[in-house]
Amino acid sequence: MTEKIGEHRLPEIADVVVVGAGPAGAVMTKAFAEAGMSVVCLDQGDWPDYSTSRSASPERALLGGNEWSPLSNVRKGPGDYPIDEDDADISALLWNGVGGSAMLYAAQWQRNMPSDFRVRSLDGVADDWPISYEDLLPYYAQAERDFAIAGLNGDPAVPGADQYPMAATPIGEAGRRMGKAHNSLGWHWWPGANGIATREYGRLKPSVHRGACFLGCGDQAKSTVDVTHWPDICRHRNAWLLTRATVARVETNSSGRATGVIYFDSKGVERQQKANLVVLAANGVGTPRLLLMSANSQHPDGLANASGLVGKRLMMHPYSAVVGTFDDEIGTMQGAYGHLLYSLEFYETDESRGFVRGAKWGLMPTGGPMEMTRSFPWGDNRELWGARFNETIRERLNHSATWGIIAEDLPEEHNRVELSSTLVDEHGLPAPKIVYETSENSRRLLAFHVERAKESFLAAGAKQITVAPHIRNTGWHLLGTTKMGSSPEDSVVDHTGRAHTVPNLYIVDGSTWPTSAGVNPTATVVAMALRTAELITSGNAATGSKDLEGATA
Amino acid sequence: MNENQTVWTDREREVLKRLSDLLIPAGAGMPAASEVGAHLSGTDKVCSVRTDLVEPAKKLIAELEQLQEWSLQDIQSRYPVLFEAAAELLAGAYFLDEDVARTLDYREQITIPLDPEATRTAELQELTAPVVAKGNIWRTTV
Repeated sequence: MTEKIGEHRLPEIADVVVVGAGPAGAVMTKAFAEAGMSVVCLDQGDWPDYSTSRSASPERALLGGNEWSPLSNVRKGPGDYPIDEDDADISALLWNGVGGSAMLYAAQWQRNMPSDFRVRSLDGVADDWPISYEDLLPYYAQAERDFAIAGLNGDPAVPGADQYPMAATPIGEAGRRMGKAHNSLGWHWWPGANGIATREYGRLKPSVHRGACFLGCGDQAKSTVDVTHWPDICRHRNAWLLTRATVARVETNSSGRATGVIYFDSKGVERQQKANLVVLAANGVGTPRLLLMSANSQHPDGLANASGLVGKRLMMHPYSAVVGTFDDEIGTMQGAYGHLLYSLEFYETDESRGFVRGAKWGLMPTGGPMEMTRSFPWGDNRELWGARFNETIRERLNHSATWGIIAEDLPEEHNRVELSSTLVDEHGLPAPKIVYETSENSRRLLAFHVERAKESFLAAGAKQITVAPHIRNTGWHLLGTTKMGSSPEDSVVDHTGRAHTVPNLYIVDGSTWPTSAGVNPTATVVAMALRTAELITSGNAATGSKDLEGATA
Repeated sequence: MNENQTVWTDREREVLKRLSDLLIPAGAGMPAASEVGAHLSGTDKVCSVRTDLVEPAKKLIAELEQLQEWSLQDIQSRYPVLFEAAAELLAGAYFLDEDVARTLDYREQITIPLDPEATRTAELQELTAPVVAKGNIWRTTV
């Protein structure tokens, strides 16, 4: 259905068609609209229905299992495609709809570190990026303004992170305790930067600390683009957002340029949207799937796939969690569910540890009573039930906090997204199949970090420490499947996100990342999209101005 | 279905009652599950938002009705998947009870206003002073 605010018809040939209405898609559409270009954004999902999140009601704690599940195979909502995961040891977690997968993010906002762009040069593994941290500096700052990031300026681990538009979310007693513990250890820590408003800011309202961030914030405090971007974008007469519009393929002409997309509308009718420029922002699973589905006689292995790397090098950030439980209350059953604080103490490579690269730790509350009963992060819970049930709940509830450990996942070509030979979506389009195996480097990395996280909690006085079991449902960050690089032989897109072999096709989601970093990716995805948008609209992309000339002719 | 409808027969409710007290007996100053009616209106409320729990819970009840005796350990080992659903159902019903939430001082649905920005920032600056004092720690790449 057309969600455009306004009655005018879609252009026959748009300047730009954008696929995906998540953070990157919203950033791109906004930039094109403000530049006066006609832009149509298509998303296969719908607007979020916050009434179903029940964020202000006690039933919220029960809802992770259905409408707000991060598993499309469980959720089965509008626009959700099945995912074939038989050969993956981590499940891809995503959201289809306006807002993208950030609808389910904890709003933890973390820039990549400078070394993340120079992994080959510094550590001799994987690849350097064709852009640097410094290239992104102005865009990080803009992203933090546009996305209303609450943080404390001046982290000595993150250069230039000193322009947050509002004060940090409270760190509570848990944060104070862990911060002091790290001070005693001489370890880095910093109050978390979060996309959780702490004062009125645009359409956002200050958080009231229900702890409902993950499943849709009904208080309009979490920064997602359905709130921060799309209402303004839709006011432009030259911008359109179509929901329940499932893109089936990108079309190209005989000269190898993209001419638009074919999509199924909300009634299942196949339609065409012609455009002079095509931008994909459909995440690290959806984007390679679409490129592979766009195979034709000219591009038999899929669009933009001369390198053979479309879909390969999937990185999903293997994840561990360590819980510390304290004798006294630390205020963790309610509050902002981002990261209270983070530590980058063990982020950089130290070869004596037996692995390369590192991880970011984010300290999170453990939540309400129901969360105290779950096998993640509490492990084998059989002993919970029965005589000691209420005693155990009281020991955990409001007395525990979690270090979430995001491991840098190195790119390996056998970890990949391909087209399933057995599953199809509601339109008969092949589902993505994910093949993924956690690497030995990641296992060693996580084992090391788990031990350090235990030391952190011991220093803080925790009486009990629990290491969460490995579970499948940790693939929040979908990266690497359309690698960015300088050469068409070993990468899919150039430093602007433009496909090497399709000059008017851009990719702006996390799939372009040559390496995964070890942090939450939204900040960098948005900063890169802002940079690409500026290069295109200013005519400074390699041949950006030409992209808008008669591509469909 | 809504929370005023039920999918449970009286016989099923009897099994749910017995099971709920096996899972959540009184203790630590808290009531047993059946004392707050977790097997009654509580399960109806849960099922109004988690219809996916109904089928496995009913299957477990049917299995248990065939048995003369059952213990918690038996159920967990023989029916792990069904048990997980039934435990989610009954614990959910238990914690939805207002008296239980009050006794735990669980205030999720109550808003908590933020302290003034200046107060929070001043506290954080004091806490992070040792981190700042160590100087920049990123790896230089330019």
